[in-house]
Amino acid sequence: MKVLLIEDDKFFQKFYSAKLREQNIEVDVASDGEEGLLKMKQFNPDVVLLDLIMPKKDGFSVLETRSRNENLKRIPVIVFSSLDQEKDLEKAKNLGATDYIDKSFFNFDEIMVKISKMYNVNNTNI
Amino acid sequence: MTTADLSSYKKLYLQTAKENCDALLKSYVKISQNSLDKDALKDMYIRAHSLKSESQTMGYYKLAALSGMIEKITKNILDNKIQITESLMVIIKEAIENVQASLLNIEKEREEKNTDFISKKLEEYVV
Repeated sequence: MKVLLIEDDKFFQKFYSAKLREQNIEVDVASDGEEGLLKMKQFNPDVVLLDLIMPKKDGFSVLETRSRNENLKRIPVIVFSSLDQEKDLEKAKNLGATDYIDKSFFNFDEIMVKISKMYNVNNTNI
Repeated sequence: MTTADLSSYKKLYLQTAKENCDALLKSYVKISQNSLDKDALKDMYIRAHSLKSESQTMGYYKLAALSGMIEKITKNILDNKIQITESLMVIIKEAIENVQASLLNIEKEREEKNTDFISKKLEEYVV
């Protein structure tokens, strides 16, 4: 399984990369939305974990761009943020986010369940 | 996740949290010189947001709450919901200094600082 982590914060880049690789998942990391969109095309991940608040292009912009591209739309995106406002989560959902994880309240088992679910759904439909 | 698992990431947390805090202070200085500097305000917002998330994950809840308040204040300013005033800038500076002090405590294996008082001061400005 391949997971692309689009996240500007170095702590979360290293933290979640390490945890995902322990599960034998191939991980690539992008530090902002622009790089994230490029890597979605190049790395072709099975699942994307997308932070919303980032410099340059934020997560909302990534979701907007993805929604206009048929190839990118096939890649499930789990919004991975610590936003505590319902309206922002609603906005992400309306822009096509497949699911949401609150990264502040760390529960790696929950993350793995959601990633695995996305991977299984996507691979069953191929 | 167990405490043991998180403790192995403490060094990484301190490294990145200090970087974010230093960047927060640099943006603060830019804003104090030019309150119209949107790039500095946006950077402050992103850094505060990162500090909040990192601290929450590592279990430093007071630091997370304080960073969250800085995040909310800068978002309010960016959204033109509140204006930058001298008194607000003084409190933001105090907040950043308390973030620094708290990180220093954590680094020295002490408890994070109790920053409720400054979080409450900032909260008075939040819309």
